[in-house]
Amino acid sequence: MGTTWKLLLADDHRMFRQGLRAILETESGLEVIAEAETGLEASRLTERLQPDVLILDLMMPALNGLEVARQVTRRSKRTHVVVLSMHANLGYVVEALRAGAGAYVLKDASADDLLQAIRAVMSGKRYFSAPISEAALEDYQRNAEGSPLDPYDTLTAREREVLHLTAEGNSGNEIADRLFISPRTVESHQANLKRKLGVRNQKELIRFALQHSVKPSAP
Amino acid sequence: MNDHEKTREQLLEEVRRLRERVAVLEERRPTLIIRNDQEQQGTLEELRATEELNWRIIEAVPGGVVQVAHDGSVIKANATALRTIGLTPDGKVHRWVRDYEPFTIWEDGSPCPAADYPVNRCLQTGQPQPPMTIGVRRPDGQVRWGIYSAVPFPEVPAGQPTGALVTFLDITERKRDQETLQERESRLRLLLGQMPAVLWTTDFELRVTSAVGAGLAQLDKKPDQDVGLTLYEIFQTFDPTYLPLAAHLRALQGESVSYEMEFMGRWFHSHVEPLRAVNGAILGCIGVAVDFTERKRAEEAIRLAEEQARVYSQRLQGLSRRLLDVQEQERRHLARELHDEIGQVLTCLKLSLEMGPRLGAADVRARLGQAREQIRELTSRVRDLSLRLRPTMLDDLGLIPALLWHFERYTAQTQVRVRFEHRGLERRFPPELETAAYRIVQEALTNVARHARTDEARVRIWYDHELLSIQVEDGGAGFDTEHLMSSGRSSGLSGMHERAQLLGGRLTVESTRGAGTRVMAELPELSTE
Repeated sequence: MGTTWKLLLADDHRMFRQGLRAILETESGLEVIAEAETGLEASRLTERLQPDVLILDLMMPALNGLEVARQVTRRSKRTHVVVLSMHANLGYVVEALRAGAGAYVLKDASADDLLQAIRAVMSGKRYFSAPISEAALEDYQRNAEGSPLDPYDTLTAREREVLHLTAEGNSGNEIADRLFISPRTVESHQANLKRKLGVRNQKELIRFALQHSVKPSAP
Repeated sequence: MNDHEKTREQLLEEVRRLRERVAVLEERRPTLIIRNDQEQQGTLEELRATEELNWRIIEAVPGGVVQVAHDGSVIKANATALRTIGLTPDGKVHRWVRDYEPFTIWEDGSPCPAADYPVNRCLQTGQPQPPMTIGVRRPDGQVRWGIYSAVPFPEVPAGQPTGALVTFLDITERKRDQETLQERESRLRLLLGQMPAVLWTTDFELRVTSAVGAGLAQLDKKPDQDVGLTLYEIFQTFDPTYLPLAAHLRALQGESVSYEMEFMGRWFHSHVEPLRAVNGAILGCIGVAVDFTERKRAEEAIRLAEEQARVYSQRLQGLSRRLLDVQEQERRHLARELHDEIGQVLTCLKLSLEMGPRLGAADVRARLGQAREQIRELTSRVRDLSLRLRPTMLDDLGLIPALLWHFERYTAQTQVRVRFEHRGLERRFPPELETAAYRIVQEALTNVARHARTDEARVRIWYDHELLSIQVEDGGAGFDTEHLMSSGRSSGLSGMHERAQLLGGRLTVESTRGAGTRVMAELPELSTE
């Protein structure tokens, strides 16, 4: 470890920053070259000074941490971003990673955690404070996708009635009579159906309905 | 030739002719002279009496009579004539008919030349003249109008010149009355033509005898169109308690009646009175009705608007009260949570840090370790409280992360699994939209946990055609929506409604007992401001 790694600290909480600096400077091979108190400052200083590592608090005034990370990764290619955050929420981790961060360290983790993170990003690896993990992230991503959305489920009860009556071959007037609504309302429902189901004409509408004939017609 | 030269025969002839002439004269004389004095006296008296009677009659006639001689000079005039056309300073008629020329005018005000006077024509032609209306300006400037006619007098054999007798009727007052009447009529017509009113008269059987007024146009009638119809026919009823009929019947009894009524879509202020003859007898009715439909409609509109305003005002008050209520509820909740969750741990912390001088180093270390632990717990709770109030993920990251976070905690708390289906959410939406969507899902899920008695809920959110649609569905107990609405307990439900409405969207709740509940909301992306 011959070279000294240049660090830039960005956090709006001064006492925290000073504490962090103290800890980091006890490590040989690390040098804190600047501090930033706002997101804007962090972005500018990073661009100008091109540090090896930017230690970035997500929650800062003026320019939000995620935005800073995006700007920095664009304008200063050599800088690795280590995000510091109170939030253990995986949503933030995903966003931070998407914004270009290499590591996500929780603020209530130990100093050791941060040092590990710095070492990891400098060797091109990702790092997360426990309990965040790659596995957890994968789980989260999968959850975030959610289950497939069946358009049929997005229909109102009335729309389903109209759909099934249409599929049975009833005319607009017949449907209107059956449901005690006006033919114009029936037309409106059919238009909504086509839109929601992403079909273009009556034929496709009927095909769709037949595909769902196993479902009960009313909740 | 003198008498010496005449022959005896010639002289005798002359004497004979003279004798004839004397005889003729002697024949005539008896009629005038032969009467003795008494007879003469009687005849004269008769004449005088007849003359007096004649002139009495002439004086008594309500008109002017003037006798004019053949040469156009005035012989005699009766008192009425003097009054009317006595223009000389001493009140006498002019000596000559032609003296009147400067003072006479036709009805249109142009001068009337003497040649056109009936009397002059009569003198000229010897024929009786038809009546003519001529005005005579008196010294005081007043014009007296008269209808003048003239007949030849005395009667003579045709061809012989004679004088004329002028008769005239003074119509000055009548003319003035006519003019006044005309003026009044035109004023009335103007009034009626401008005001949306109807003026009508009826006879004693309530048959319309006249109907005028601009108000008729609104009823699609022409003036006097209904003359001849009875009110019963016009109003199509014989019911004597029907307001206008009752009013007319009372008017026929001498009462003046005012009433309001609606007829053919228009509203009228009506007033009907007895129509009386000069002697006071009631001949029928006279009525006037003023159309005040526009004002009535305006009044209706105002009343409706006031009603609406009152309703809105009440709603507004209700909402304000609810707002304050909800605020207080939230604060109470927060206060309790702070007290329960934070307060307790702080107390423990305080205890841990109370180091007495008697404690050994190991104990102190142990205590500090405890304290550190408690601080960590505290930090976690504070963070949690804060997030529960409003998750920062919603502002920083968007709907999916915020909802995922919520679902995780929700399931941990309620044991209800959440199946999340979505499409089109890989972008941010306006903050109000995201907040509304989040809160609606939050509230709906709370209800599921509270009432549905089920272990799974489905949350569907999709964005399509500038509409963000949200659905929270469960297959649980369901409820009677009517019942819940009327019981008024569902502030959560109406809160969701309001959120949707405020954004120009809508929210519906479908529920069937035993089959489940489905909350559906549609929020347009573009603000409808």
